[in-house]
Amino acid sequence: MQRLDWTINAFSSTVMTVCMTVATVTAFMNVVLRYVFGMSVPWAGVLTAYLFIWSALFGAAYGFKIGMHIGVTVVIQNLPAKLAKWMLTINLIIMVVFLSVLTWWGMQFIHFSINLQQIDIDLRIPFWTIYLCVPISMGIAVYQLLRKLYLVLTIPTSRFSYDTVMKESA
Amino acid sequence: MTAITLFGLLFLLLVAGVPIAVALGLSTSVVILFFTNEPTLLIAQKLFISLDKFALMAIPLFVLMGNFLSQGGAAQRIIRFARALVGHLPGGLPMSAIFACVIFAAVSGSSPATVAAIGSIMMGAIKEDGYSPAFSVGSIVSSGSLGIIMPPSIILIVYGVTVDQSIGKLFMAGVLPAFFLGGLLMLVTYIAARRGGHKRQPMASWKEIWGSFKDASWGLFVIVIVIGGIYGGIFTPTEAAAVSAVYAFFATKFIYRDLSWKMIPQVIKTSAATAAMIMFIIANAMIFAHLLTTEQMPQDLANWIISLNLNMYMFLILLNLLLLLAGNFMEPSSLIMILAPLIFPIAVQLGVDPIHLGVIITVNMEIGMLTPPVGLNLFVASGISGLTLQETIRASMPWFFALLAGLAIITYIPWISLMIPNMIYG
Repeated sequence: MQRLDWTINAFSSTVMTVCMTVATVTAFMNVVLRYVFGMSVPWAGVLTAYLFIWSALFGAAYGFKIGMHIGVTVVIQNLPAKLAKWMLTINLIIMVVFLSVLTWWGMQFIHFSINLQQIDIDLRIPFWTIYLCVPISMGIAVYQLLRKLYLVLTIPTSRFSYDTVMKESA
Repeated sequence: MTAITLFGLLFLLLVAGVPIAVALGLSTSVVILFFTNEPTLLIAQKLFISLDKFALMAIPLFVLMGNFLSQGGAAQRIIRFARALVGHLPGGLPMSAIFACVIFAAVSGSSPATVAAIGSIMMGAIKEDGYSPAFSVGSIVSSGSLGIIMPPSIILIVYGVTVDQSIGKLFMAGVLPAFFLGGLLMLVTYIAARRGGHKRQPMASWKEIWGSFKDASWGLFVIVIVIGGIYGGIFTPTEAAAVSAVYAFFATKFIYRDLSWKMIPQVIKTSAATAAMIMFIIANAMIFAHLLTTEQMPQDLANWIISLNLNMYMFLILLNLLLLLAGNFMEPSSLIMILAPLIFPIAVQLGVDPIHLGVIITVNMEIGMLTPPVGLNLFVASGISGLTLQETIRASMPWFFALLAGLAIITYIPWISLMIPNMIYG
């Protein structure tokens, strides 16, 4: 179980970081090619955008682990621990349900794209492979939230605070 | 009915502490599922498609640029330059801190990063020079907030993408208001310091001014890339962001040598995580905005407001009040994504310039960063200075009021915002 956890975290943070790096370099090279060498590379702009989107969605999934997603937490942070714990449990259940449904919709979207057989003209790869980031990243998000749910249900109320459950260091 | 369900659900989820991105996506999905005939597949598709805009790619790139340049050396060198320029005036040290904040805002593109970088160096120095801790904290908290109006500004990109306006124009529109507000803050400092009778620093020699400028210029060059590049029509904002991100890496790594190879993956990882957080809100907010438009809610709201016979000036007062109030509870970019699609059609019908509107909204958000409970700058500053949150708030009061006055002036004199963009884009 611990190995699975390590693999999922390493996978999402690696995709996030590598895509960010490659996208930045591609975007920069594209500017250099255009202004210094007068070359136009049509696929570079598209590739930059897709890589940043992959980085963003996998980063968003990873963000659920480290509690990076901001919200209005004034209320929950100031409730008595017992009540806050309940509220967080309900929040997490709602989030797990929604993101699971979103993962399912994401898979339908992939299915739909495979049937359309559309191909990205610039990169010459089928669109559905690019869209794969939606269901995979949302699936990882569900996993991270289920872990949080387990954490909030097992932590003793005396040690509970919103931050200890939601914010784990990377 | 749809509107009540949508906003009611969103409000409920937000108050319960559900992350903003999820609250937006969830409330929209529920409404789409139960009140419309749109396919649910569309929601998953929108998650991807709404991020597929070249203008948005400037956000991760500017975050990366700011994080590289915040790694140490650049802030220190900019401070030295600022001190050489204005350090000899009354209130010299806090004045230099404000000046350094204005410059660093243009280099980092982020308000909290500006407060952290300049504050961690200057707060101690200001205190040592005999100013009250309130003086040092107050001036830096407030001037750090200029980060979101000074280009490159992520908030302005978010506004531009949400309401479909030119980001280049918005960036240019932010320059003069940023200097104007910076000037107001320095004026308050000048007056307060003269009253306090603080001792003055000797004037820096020309040699020191030139030397400090030369040393800081490697960092300052990103201002040339971003503002100059867009101003001169050479780069689009995204291209400027790509060049300055890579440039920031080179300057920090090879010229200032503030970056070890080991730190680089960490900097990229932190930047990617920050960018992902913003982009995930954007993706969900776009689905939300899409629903608003298909249900014609902004039009309905606009018609209702117009039927009240408000004139533009009344509307702008109400707008400022609404934004200042809302800015107390939510972080700027999410707030803009929720409110801008609603406000925009009304404002345009009443004759407010779309670019000017972006500046007004951003200045409001800036002030929101100084007010609890979500004043990000306050938390950063109280963390660095060791003052409590209450003390930090009290300390920033004089500058806070200066910013409010500045907001009023910027709201009612569109020229300040529109002069530069009109000059360039005609």
